[in-house]
Amino acid sequence: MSSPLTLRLRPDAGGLPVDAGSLSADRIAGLPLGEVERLPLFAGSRRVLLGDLFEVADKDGGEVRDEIAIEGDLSSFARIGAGMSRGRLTLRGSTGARAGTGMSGGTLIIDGSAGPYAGEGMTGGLLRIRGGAGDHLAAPLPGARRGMNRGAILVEGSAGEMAALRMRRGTIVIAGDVGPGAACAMLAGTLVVLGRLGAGAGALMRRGTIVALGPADPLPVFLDAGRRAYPFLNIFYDAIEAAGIRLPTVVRRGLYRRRVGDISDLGKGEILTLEGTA
Amino acid sequence: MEIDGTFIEDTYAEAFSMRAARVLVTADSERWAGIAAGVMTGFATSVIGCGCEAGREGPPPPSTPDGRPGVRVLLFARTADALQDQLVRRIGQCVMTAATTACFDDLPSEETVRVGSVLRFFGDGHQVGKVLEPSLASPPGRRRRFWRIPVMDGEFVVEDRFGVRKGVAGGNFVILGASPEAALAGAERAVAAIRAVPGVILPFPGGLVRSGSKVGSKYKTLVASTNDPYCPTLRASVTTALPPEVAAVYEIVIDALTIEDAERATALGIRAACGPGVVRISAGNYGGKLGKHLIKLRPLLR
Repeated sequence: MSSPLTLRLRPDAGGLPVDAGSLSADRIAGLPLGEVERLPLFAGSRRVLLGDLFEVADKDGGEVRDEIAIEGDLSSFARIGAGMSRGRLTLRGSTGARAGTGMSGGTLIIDGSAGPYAGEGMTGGLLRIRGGAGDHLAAPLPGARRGMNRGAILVEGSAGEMAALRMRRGTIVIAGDVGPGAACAMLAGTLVVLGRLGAGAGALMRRGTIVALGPADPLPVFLDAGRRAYPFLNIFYDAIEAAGIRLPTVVRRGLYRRRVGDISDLGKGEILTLEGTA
Repeated sequence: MEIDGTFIEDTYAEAFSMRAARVLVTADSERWAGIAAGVMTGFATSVIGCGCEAGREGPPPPSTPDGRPGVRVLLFARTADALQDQLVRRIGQCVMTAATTACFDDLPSEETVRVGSVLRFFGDGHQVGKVLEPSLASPPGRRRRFWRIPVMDGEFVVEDRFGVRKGVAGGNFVILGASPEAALAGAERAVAAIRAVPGVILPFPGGLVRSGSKVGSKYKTLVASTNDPYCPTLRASVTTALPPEVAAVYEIVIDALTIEDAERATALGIRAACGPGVVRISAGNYGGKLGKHLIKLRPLLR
């Protein structure tokens, strides 16, 4: 098995904001070492080369592969993994805004935390954030009517405000809390929150599912449809646990209160809140 | 060749390729999953008159997608279209109607047919689709969509599409007994042994068939008719295949996902059937001209 192409952030890389759109498996995979080092990045308003900011280590001597590891604190870097459609990119550190923007495939793993707008405009693939995520997780691209439209996002920490805005398809799992306004105007898809579900979740939701396994206080525009078991949730729970996120055992034999809404809109969305066990 | 005093004829079964689907029915209890599977596989003995051949497969699976008790069912039909038609009818009428059930595809394949995406309309606009993203699915890359159809005891969950693969139908062997009781006892032993084999079903009642058929009939409208050489009451009227000491015959018909499964089931079944009162084991064929698969009895038993 080949080892990943590794990019190590140089100690003197400086703290300028960097547009790191070139740091994606699609752009790097298969390139000779020299060309990888010559990929363009923007540090502030200045065009720099990837090799100016990173040491490129290639143990396998230039063999074509689509697995890339990046080491360092990239908190001032935006758009890492932008437009990825294949391959696997692992960041051993944290990153700034818009990680995985426009992703349509492949796997982007961020061992630290991600800034705002992570997974913006996603249409496929897997974005895994082992720390927390900022505001506007899985937001629509600027000007777009729809948010995330396929793909999966796993956040092992908490997420900020307005996650899953106008989400159309896909699955988002947040192991911690989520801030106010989650899944606002959701069109479809699934949001699973293990921690606290912030205020105003699902406002103007048309369709889709919010599964709240922690504390939640749904808006009054969601009407109570009773409490019961939903065995289909185990399909998702199996997948979530297979991805390495531990769930409390109680969720599998839990009873869920179903609230449907937002009745001020189409009203076919649902918030399932865990309430006791069978 | 003899096993436990039973003669094994040097012959072969002739089996055919058919399209197969594997359905996993779950419910709150194994009893209700079994009821749904039993109704779903009723009137599914032969494609000649039932549209498909179906039966419960093997022991219950150790795990199911929704974590509830489950039962596997295999269905076989001549074409993928015919299989889709049968799946929609049988899942819609027999599984969706059964208390607490859900229904999943259990044969991931390149080729699929629409089932849940047809049945969902029963939800009259209240159905909910849920997709398990390829990156979260196991194995990765298989996008699975499920439909939650509201019903009076909650929700009926059914998979959007079901996988279809080539299978093998019409594997068989014939048990010739010195008495009706001995023939039936031998056949029942064979059925019990084969039922433990995964990937295999026995579509006939109780796993065995007494009305074995031959191709064609003196009546032009019939495609099949009684297998007269094996009918003991006709031994004086037709060219019989029965030795004088044989009083009754039962046939075991085997449908399987692969030819290897069919061969394994045949060998296990024959070994179990052999014993006192079972005079001979034979098999049904058409001279090797019609079926793609020839299952030779003796090599399987060596």
